[in-house]
Amino acid sequence: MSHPAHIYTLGIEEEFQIVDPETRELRSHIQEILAGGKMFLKEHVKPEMHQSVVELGTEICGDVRCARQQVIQMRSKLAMLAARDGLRIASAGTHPFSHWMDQLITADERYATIVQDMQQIARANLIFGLHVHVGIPDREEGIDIMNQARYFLPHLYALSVNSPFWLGQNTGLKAYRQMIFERFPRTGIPDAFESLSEYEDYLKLLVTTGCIDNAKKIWWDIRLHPLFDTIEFRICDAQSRVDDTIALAAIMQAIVVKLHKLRSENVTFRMYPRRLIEENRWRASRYGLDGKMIDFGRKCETDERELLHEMLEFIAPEIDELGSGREVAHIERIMREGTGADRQLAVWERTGDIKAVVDHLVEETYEDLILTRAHAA
Amino acid sequence: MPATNHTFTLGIEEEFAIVDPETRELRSHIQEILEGGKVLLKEQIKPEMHQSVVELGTEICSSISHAREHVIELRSKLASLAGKGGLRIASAGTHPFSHWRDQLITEGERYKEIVRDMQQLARANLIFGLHVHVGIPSRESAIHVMNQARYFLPHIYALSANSPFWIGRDTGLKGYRLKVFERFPRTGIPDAFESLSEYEDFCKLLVKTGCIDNPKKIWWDIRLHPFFDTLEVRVCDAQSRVDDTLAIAALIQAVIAKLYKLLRHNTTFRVYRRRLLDENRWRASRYGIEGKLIDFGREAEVETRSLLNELMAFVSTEVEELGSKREMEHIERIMREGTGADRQLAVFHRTNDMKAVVDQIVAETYEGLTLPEADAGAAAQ
Repeated sequence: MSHPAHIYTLGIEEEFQIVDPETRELRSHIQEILAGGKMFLKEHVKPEMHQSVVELGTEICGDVRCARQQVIQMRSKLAMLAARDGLRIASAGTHPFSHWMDQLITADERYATIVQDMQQIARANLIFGLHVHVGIPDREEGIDIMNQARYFLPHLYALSVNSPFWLGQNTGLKAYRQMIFERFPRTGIPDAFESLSEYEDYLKLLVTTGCIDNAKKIWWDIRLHPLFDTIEFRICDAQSRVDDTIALAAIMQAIVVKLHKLRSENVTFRMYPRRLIEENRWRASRYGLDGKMIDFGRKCETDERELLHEMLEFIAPEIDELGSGREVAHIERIMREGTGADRQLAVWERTGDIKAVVDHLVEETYEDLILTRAHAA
Repeated sequence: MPATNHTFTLGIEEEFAIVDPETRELRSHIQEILEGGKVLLKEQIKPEMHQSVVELGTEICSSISHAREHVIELRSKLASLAGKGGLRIASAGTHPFSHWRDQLITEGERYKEIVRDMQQLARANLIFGLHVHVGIPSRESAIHVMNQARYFLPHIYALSANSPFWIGRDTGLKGYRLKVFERFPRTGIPDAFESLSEYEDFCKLLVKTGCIDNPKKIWWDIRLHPFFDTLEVRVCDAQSRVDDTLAIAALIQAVIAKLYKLLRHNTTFRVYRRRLLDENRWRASRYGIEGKLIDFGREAEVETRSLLNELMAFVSTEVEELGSKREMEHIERIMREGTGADRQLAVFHRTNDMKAVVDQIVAETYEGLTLPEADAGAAAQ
């Protein structure tokens, strides 16, 4: 493959919870983290609207191993910063019980505007996502890849579900985070676009008519990034273990490579209307891996695990080429042992204690981190 | 117009809250109401998933004045039945403070299955809507009218916004009910369909792949009814006053009559994509009639009130033909004095008391009803 160095690069953004190890509640602690992080984490750490949320973003990574190193390094630094004040970090799509009402909003003109604009929808938006950027050759092709990749989003989501609890209740869904977020406009699976210009005209119209001030306020499950030449997968719940994050990123990267390759062979994955893909998205959110999804080509329901195996087969050559076999092997483990949601639910069913679920999340979030002995304790 | 009798007939479904006049909380009372309602209301009363919710549906009405009689009659009978148990009825998109967790679920395999399937989404779906059916004899034409009518759903919703509170909190939105409901799949504004067969193929595929057992599980803001030859507009919050319900039903009827006429003249209102219409839908839910909506033809933001005036001018011929001038005058009153949400918020700001909000909703719900003196006196308390 001959292409400029930028193509298929990876960037990973993770949103973390800052929790108090005693109460297990969220703690509005971003100011202290930012103050301490200026040296350690520089521009890789960002505040979010709620002060109990911290976002970490990697640099542009050439491959999945580089991304893994960076994720470990950044998680470790963040864990140390939190530990200075006796706090922990945790990664999951929602906090099991902390209430959004109790969280402080970051003081900033931008967040004040969002709250003014979105009201309770914004204040209640206490959720944590994993966003993966994959570099694309050009924006024309980016739109085409985005159109096709929509089909895979529910399958990626099924693997990543990690938010069964909300405000202390077992919602009965494997992933409740989507239900919170989709109260925002411009979320969910986008329509397909005929061309880059159709997409750009749409953006211009939204800006002209005062719906958005810039394209960053488009929050779809997948988007062509407004500034970088990347496809950004935004659908996944935040992942507890480093291995989970990296495995998902590796698959997304391979999907983009695969679709690029198909295009060069004049083939395209079939494009379905949003109303069909949304049926699978609902099933992913409800059942995670344990349900059936629709195979729209065959027009039948099929066990999700079986469809995931087909997906892995579909991108197997690309995984080989990208050298991410080891990272993707972790997917098999998720399919065997369960998603983050399944593991949270297992702890809850065993202990009947939602605080034990937080402890479990913290523990998984620290797996593979490099901490000094004091911090590890 | 060479229309059959069935054309533009009206059917109105309203979902009511049963409340306790002391605590002002919802009361799970449907069993008693159904028991008493068998004689009085027959098949026009239906339980919903939550036992504190009652649905009333009119017969097919040939005109708006006919529909008005029916709505008044049904509401009055329901109020009498509730009165027997010392309870009241209230109509608004949400109850200001009662929690969904405290409501009993109606027994029956059907509801059990929905709860099993949808889990917390179903249990939390404690909302009240107004559904308006308008008869269209040809399903082919109806799909094209539906495609066009999608444009006006946010405008109609803005007028109907009546759910600013949720679980005891001022959400800051005028219509929070949509936010609760849109967690369900197959809700919101539908895509446009090329033809009736494209729509039917979609329904068939969903049934075949086990997504739905029948097309009644398509819950869009507007839908071609699976069994009746009607377009059903489902976007509106339940309306407190009879006058509000009738005004909105009349507007919906006139819009559909107008769009049907355009088709017969070989023209069509421009069909926009869902992603654009959704922007207006969000604004309607957030601001009701106080904000601006986008005029996609002009590509500009315009005051919602001004767009509503344009909409009424657009359908004025049909309003004449359908005899609903009185109802349009009431829309002007809503625009002057505020939507149900505005009125709820006004009481709350004046009293800072959510119970007073419930009292006001009850008072408005009983406006214009014909009750025996005993019941009327009780409602006024």
